[in-house]
Amino acid sequence: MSLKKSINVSPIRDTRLNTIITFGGNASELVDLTSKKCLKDNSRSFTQTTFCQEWLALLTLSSIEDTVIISHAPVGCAGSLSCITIFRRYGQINRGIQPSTGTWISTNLSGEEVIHGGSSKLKDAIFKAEKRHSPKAIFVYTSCVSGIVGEDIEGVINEVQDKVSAKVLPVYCEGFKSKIWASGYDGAFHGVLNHLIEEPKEKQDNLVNVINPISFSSADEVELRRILSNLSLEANFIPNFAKIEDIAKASEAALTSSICTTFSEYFAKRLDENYGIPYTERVMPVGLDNTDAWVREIASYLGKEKEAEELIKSERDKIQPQINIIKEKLEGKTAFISAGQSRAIGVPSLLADFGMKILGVTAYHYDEVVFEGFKELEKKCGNFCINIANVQPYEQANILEKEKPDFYFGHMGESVWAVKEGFPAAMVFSLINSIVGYNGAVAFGNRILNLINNPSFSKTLSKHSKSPYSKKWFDENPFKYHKEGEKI
Amino acid sequence: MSHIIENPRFSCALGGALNTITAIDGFVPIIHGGPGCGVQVFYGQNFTSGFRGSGWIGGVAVPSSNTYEEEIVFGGESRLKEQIEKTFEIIDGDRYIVITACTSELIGDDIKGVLREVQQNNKNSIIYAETAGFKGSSYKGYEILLDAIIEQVLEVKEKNPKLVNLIGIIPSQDVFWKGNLDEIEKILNDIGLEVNTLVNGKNLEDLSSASLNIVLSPWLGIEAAKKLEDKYDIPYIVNPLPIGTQQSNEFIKRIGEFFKIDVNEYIAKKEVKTYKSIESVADFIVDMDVQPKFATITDSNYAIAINKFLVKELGWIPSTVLIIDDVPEDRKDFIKNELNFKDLPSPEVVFESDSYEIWETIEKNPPEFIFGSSLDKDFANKRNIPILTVSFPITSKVIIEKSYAGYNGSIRLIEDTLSETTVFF
Repeated sequence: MSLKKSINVSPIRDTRLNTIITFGGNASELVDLTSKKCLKDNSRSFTQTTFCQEWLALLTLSSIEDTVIISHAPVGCAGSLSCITIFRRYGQINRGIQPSTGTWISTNLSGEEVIHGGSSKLKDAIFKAEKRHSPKAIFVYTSCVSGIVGEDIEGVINEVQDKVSAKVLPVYCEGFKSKIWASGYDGAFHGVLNHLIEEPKEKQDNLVNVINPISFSSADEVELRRILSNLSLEANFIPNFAKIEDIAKASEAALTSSICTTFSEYFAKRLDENYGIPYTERVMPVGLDNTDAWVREIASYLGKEKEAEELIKSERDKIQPQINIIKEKLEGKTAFISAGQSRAIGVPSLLADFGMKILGVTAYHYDEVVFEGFKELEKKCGNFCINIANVQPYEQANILEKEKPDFYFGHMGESVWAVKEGFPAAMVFSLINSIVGYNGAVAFGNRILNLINNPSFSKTLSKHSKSPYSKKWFDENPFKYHKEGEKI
Repeated sequence: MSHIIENPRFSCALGGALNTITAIDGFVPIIHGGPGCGVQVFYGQNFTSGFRGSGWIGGVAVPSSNTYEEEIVFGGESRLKEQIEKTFEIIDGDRYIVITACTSELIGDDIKGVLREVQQNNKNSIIYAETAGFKGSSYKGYEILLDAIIEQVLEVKEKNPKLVNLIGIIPSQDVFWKGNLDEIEKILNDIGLEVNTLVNGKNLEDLSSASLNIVLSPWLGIEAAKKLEDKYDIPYIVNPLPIGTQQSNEFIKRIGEFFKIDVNEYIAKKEVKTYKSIESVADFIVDMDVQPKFATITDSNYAIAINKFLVKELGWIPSTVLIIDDVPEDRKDFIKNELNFKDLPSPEVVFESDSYEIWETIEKNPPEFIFGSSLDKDFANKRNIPILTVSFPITSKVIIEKSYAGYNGSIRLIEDTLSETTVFF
């Protein structure tokens, strides 16, 4: 067993990757500060609710077959699984899998357990999960309450593991412990690495792990599988919609790649450390230039540079006529993008491929995973407004009022606020269509054409939507409530 | 000790409180707790109740102190103070409320003290409710919120002899909350009364000027009604949500009696109209032999309303009633009694919130129709049992103003129920 395996908890990104969640200014400033190592750990004096790392940890492991999630928490903490299950069912249907709502068990911690501890309920939950569903794995999620009360999750698991046939693994994701919700990915993958990945039986030269967030569609996977198979490579999409066996054999792959580098960062690095599997880390394959770069990086590790260049040329030639049609309509239109840091680079780059002008970008956080990618984006798109914010729609509302983009591109939950302000919006992901690769670029371009052809919804809705923010707020600096922190 | 729950059908206390606050015009919530609580209960209850949206200040717009390790170690009071002051600056609200999440209650922040300090320099109205998730379910959170409003907002006011309050319906936990409250309000307006539902744009302060509190639930809101009676001399009646002609008639008669309004003509008119509609679907019911054995998986409010309506008016055969809310022990007999139909077939009544146990119980006496939540769809589909989703969570349809309450609602319920039996036609 390697040294890494004996560490129970993955270190949070706050300290590990020097991640920041508060910055306001323009892209050139951010690039400059980054290169001079002058980024600061700023905070806000006014904040709106956002995601905690538990949410992202749930998102990471909620669609794996034959598993049960246990939330060692009060009953509200895993509530979002009733929403995340929409992603799961959609994804299953589109992948030809019988759709099923996942199983999650809340230990329903109450005032009594806050005082006396809840380990007996956790044991009860594990035994019931086993008896009721005979899963292959049981994920035990921690919570703020279990963390503050000091529940010994590891101890309970060690005690019961021999009595159940499922692999029981902890997912450390106490919401208060990290300001960077992406730490939740690491907490989830950490448990997977320690308990589900098996020692390689034999190395497979053509097998590439592709780490897939649940927010990418089956059409996205079809596109990446197609690209990889053109390079005579086989894609092993994990962890979402995977079988436990697919995850177990990740150690046999020749390379780890990912759709989202922010999502896969920790997992890929640990697979490398534990099993000597190199990994790609440059970009997400969203946008034509980015997809080229993604293909080239994979090829460079596997000695397929020549095939890659041929593939890129033939793919580009094939879609160019369609890109030209899209470009004709979108050239010069302005866009604002809000997304996680990797997508906040991928999507603007794709829009720039259509000739659109990037007015601004909000990235949910910013760290060394994307330093290079962001620099390249700034070079490609010129200077633009940049906000690093873990959502914070009040800042967004203010910025949009000043920037007035033609279109807004963002995630679930936040984009509706732009629409209520009158800006036509499209999601930066799709459960049905594709956005990645060459065909995804065309599909996404066509999605935007719909917004151009008919922006009525945002125009009519905004006339009837009352902003929660005071009139005065829109005259203020959008970053008024930033508080300067220590240099990181 | 509370027990573990597989696939729960409610959120936590914070969820029940927050999703009620964001349904009240001009009421600004400020969560004091971890960064993810607001989003967790938005997607864990608000959005999953038929895709209710953020509204004016819900979803990711909810002000929240987002406390981290530093506050857990050193206390979160100064962060809360700062958050409240900035919220006053930026959010244009009529009234503000701090709702505490698990972390701030576990570390013991003095919320009252912070509010006292804040109010020294500020005239904004701000109250607080201690709604830590570990205190219980959405139902508990609703009760805590009502109590906070009664204790901290209300004052003695002149009585409005025509005004009634409707309490006991939790936005989102009751997925049809808006339509239901609108429908009951309309009925009460029809007989000459004014209504404050908390969520229909009336002032919160006016709750104490009502002449009657109607608890539209077999238990939820009784505590608040008792307190309003003690403090403001407002009598109350407990009348679970009425669905269908018989329940609506009884409901209106009770209200009419209280206010000395003659409702006979109104009832007669409504009854004629409703049964004219029911008669129009009688051919379908008869021709298709629709008299199934059915089970319900809902909270106690819907359990009573749906079973009573289907058994007493449509002649369906009840099998099992699964009641998912944490009904206080002393109200269980009332509920069982409401579900005892004497000379008509009566269901077995089981109080259970764990989904696995619920399905095991149903399986023992398999029904031919299920009223449940989206969580029950796999169970029903696997057995080819038609299902109508009426209970939280609902992710398989969009709900805006739909209601099954009252006279009109019962026609909607018949339409939707029978439509589930026609999906293969």
